[in-house]
Amino acid sequence: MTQATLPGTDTPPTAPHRPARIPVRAGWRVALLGGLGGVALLLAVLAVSLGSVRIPVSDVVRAILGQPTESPSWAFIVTEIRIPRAITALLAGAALGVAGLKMQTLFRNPLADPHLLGVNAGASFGVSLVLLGGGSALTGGVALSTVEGIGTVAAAALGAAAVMAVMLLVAALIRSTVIVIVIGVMVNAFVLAMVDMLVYYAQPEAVKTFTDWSAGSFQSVTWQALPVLAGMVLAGLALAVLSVKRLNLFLLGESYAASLGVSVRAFRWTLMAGAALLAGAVTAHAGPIAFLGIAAPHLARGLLRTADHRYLIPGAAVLGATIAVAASILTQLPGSEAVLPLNTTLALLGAPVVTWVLVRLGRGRGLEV
Amino acid sequence: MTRTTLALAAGLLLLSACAGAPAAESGDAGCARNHEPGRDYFPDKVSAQVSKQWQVGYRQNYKLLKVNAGPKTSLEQTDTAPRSYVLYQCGTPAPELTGELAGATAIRVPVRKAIDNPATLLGAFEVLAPEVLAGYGEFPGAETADKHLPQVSKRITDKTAVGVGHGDKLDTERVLNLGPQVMFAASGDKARFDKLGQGGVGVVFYDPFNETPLGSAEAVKFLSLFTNGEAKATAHYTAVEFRYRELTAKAAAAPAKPAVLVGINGHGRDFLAPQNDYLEPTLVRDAGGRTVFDLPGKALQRLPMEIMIERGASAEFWFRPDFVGKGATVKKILEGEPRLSRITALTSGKGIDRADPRVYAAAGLVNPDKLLADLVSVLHPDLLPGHQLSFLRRIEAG
Repeated sequence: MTQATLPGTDTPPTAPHRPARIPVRAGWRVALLGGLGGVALLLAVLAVSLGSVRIPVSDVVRAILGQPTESPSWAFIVTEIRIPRAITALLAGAALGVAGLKMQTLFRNPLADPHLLGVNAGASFGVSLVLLGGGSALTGGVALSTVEGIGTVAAAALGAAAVMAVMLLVAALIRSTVIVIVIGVMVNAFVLAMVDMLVYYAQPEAVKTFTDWSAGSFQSVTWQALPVLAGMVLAGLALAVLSVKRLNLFLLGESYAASLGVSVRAFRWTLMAGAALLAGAVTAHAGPIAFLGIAAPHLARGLLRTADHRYLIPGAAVLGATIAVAASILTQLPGSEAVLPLNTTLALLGAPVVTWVLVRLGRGRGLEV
Repeated sequence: MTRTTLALAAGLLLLSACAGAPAAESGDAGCARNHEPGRDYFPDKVSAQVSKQWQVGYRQNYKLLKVNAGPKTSLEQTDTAPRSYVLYQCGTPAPELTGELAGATAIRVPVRKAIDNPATLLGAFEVLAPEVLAGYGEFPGAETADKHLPQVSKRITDKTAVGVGHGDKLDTERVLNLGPQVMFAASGDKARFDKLGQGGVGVVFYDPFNETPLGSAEAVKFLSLFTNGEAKATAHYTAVEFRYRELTAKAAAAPAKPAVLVGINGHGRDFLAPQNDYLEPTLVRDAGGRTVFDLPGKALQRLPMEIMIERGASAEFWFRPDFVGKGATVKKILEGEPRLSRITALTSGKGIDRADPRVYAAAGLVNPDKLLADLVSVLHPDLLPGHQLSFLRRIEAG
């Protein structure tokens, strides 16, 4: 377990300490956050303007304003594909960044991310039942018949919710955070093993469809689904903002947090529920999105040089959104007829950047959560 | 006059088939009793006229079959080198595997038991020798009795042909226990197949699904090499080819060539389009249509959804060769991906897909004339009035 350090210091606390007092560079951090937010919005505008189909900027503007475009398809592409995709990327990036931050703080582990809650595993299991169950010798079609008719979104949501419920129950019953995290790993392994069994016995073509879903996609979300996704993400982000003070106390360890009046078990449950809500909403709508949950918090710590959640929560949200939108643009390889899988693009784009930031800004300081 | 000629031709072909088979001269049906050096044991011969995947050369008592390396379609496929097979006549000595035969797999023919692991040769077995089929790739749907595969379906139903797993999930023990002389596979793990070879099973790599329509129809010829059923295969293929080319000529004369969107996508996913030399685009062109996308090659290509929407919106038809599932309706498709409402071919009732993906793969491939007839009747209804669809279906509104 990584030793926590106080915001703005290099040394672990030796006594209860008031965390997160606004440091002298508060104004700089706020400005940086504002700048990063601007970058995210600029990228979102680019995401609407750029794509596989070359649409003149004037027609993009006309499409947004609801005016006819030179080709009727252009308006449709801009309004029905690009804008929802950009908004989804912003929401998903922000949600996974914050969910990852909460998980890393909760478990005080730099490698923690929403996967530990079993969200992806549960969602994958739900979707695998729909896509693979009917073709599996294991289920003899029974599984398919029970879930047939519900879409992949609903199946993913149900699967994720089921596994999250187990993990939340575990979190409520078990006092030790370490045991909770180990049980999380076990639950994940168990659920993914069931998915593997379905995949193993499924038709190759169905496996391909499932693999497609597993690659993740921001363009899965339509205007009809967007309000649900946005509502869940905003609710999850609001919960995170409300948890700022207690998250900062958690940095000092559960004992200190408890001594300062935090109900550790209840707060842990709340944190997990909030992270699960954020990650579950994204996974259900866009498929399992890797990398953002673990990368955005580290990038935020590296750029903002603080462990203070007052900055880290908006930082992880904005940086997650920025990476997600950038990846969304790259997946479409503007101007070409080729596409890249989202998760691959996210890792290809983000991993070197995060590594560079961590090496450059965190040299010699170790990885701190 | 024509009927009489056809009947005579068919009779001659059957006689020729009987004369060519060495069954009459052996106690072990199909085997030669005594080897006669210099005798041509295979008077009936086939060759791959369209397929580029295989070629055969006939010697006196054996056939040298060469199969080109197919695409790497499996994670476990560790060997993609071209393969040679020496199919030697039962009752004659196996040739020494030296010189041009070095490295070849020797298989005694005619085979009595065979396994169709990719389950794409079931149609060929139906035409040639259903009794030889002992096992099949256990794909869902293969078990379903189908009018196009009555004899094969019966064998599957009464379990005289059993499932052996499929693809990389092949049940090696079950295969060995069945004791086939040959197993057809599309791809696989060389180490595992080597074990089958040590157990006396000749593993033959061949994928008719990776062919043009007439190339896939030559799967019947390919199988005939193992059953010594060349005459029957030639009769089948000749008839199929004749009808196919006749239909192609008819469709080519149609005044208009409707634009057809070919490919699939689902909820939020990008478009998976077959390239020009793939089965379905070839069928579309031969049926007097033109594909919306011009994609050189013979693989599946992923295209962005927005390209599909822009170019596909004005297509007159959507040929949606889905891999899985049956009975998709416009309503279900739109529930999954509402933005496909932009594809007017779908919403206006001009969407078509495979009636049954498995039967399409198994029986449709060796009867591409029927596939073509289905497509011609959809694209140019006036050319085939009253035609009943066999392997394709119109996507209903739901």
